[in-house]
Amino acid sequence: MTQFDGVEYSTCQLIPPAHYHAKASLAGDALQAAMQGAYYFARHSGRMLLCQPYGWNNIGAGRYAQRAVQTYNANYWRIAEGFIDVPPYATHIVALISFAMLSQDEHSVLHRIAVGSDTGQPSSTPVAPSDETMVAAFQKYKGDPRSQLKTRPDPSVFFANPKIASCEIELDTEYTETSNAGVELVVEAKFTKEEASSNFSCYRPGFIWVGYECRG
Amino acid sequence: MSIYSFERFNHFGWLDSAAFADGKSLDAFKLGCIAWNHNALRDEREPVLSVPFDAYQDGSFVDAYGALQMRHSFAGWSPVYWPMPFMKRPHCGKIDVRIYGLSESVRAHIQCVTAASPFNPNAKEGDAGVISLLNAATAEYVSAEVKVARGSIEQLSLFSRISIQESLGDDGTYGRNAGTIGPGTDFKVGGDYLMWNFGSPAPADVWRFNNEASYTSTYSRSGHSIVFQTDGGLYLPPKRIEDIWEIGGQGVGYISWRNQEPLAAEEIEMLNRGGTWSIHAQSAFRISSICAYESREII
Repeated sequence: MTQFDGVEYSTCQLIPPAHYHAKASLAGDALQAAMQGAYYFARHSGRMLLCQPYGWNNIGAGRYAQRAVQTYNANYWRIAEGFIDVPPYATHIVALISFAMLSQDEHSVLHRIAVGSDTGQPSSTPVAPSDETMVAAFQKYKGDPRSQLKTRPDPSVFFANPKIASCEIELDTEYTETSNAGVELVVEAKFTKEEASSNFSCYRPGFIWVGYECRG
Repeated sequence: MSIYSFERFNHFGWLDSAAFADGKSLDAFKLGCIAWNHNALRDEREPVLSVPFDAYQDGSFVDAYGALQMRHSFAGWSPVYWPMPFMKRPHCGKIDVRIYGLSESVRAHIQCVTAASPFNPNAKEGDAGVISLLNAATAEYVSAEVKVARGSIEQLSLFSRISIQESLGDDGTYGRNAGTIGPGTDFKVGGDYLMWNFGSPAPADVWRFNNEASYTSTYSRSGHSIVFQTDGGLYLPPKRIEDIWEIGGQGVGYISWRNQEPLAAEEIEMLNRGGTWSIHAQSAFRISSICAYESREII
């Protein structure tokens, strides 16, 4: 159990009185547990940085603030962007995306996340991960062709089959050593199929959670 | 005090390092201070969700463009908004969900669902994880304590339910809200659609149809449900209208609907013996904010 040459922080349990109450022989347990817990909190657990909700109005015509449906597009398009501080010791930025899509051709959708440089200023071109580093969220859903005949599909069509995807980016080492204030953040999505004729694929993001993790 | 009962300081704070200097012996109390401080940190709570919507309150529900607002469904619990995934502190077994919302006219209930608190079709007011918006006149602050899985990722889903509080659709805005169905009319019902050959009058004389140019109000996506009845009996459960249009000027009306329950669409076959139809709307509700916080508790 004792390990002085390494850092133990794989968990954080409550310390029961049995560890310290008039038990001098077990004193080390209490100290070790407290130290492990401190490391754990310093270096672990995902924390929220940004929530991106979209309006949801299924009454009448008042639906202007809802995120427009993205029909087929061969390029990445932005579904969320922000200007954040990256905390010290953060090693990963994680995005959890609640979305839905309709696809007559069973397209898949990829999500990716990118953060800007550490200059403190938003960069015009975020530092995007390469395709190799992004975590792809493949979601296939063969939609209802009748719904695809409309240019403005009903939110409930998408809502009937929501999906959850995640993507993450491992930060450069410079992000792990200092607190980085003012970093541009971008979350993007893209259809996988490269055929521009596929006009029947529609994508709709509903909610995006972005946070950081310290994985040590 | 039991040696198995967890204890903690109410707040995490500094300990006097002089009491823990190198070479000094530690008694149980000093060790306890370290442990209590640790336990306080262990139980510290943080926000996990912060989901605001347009809080525009001036005008009708329809005009609150960016808000989260919906009409309740007729049957059972129906989904509200999207599932909201989030990361949290592992070991945390509960979250406090805070909602700021308004029910249009009657009491509305919202069920909070997570992996550790699964959807309950029979949930009712007062059950764990069920939030009730009681006051129909002003927005309310309401909370629920919801169990969550012990891992680091969870998701919160909301479902709404209401007692029947319906009104007929506005025929001036949307088109006819009630009528009869002649026996033997060409009338096909699928799991999520209805195809209806009106013959005469033409469908366009009955309901307004989508006009993509002006996007006029129609029963499409308006939160209304269609009900069929015959001699006091019910053909079908009320169905929320998703879209409504005419097929190619052939005198055939087409309605698609969404199943309210979070279940696969059922297949329904229906024998048309004639009867009545009517289009109704349930009361609406609006949510301005959804927040969730890790619960400070000992697990």
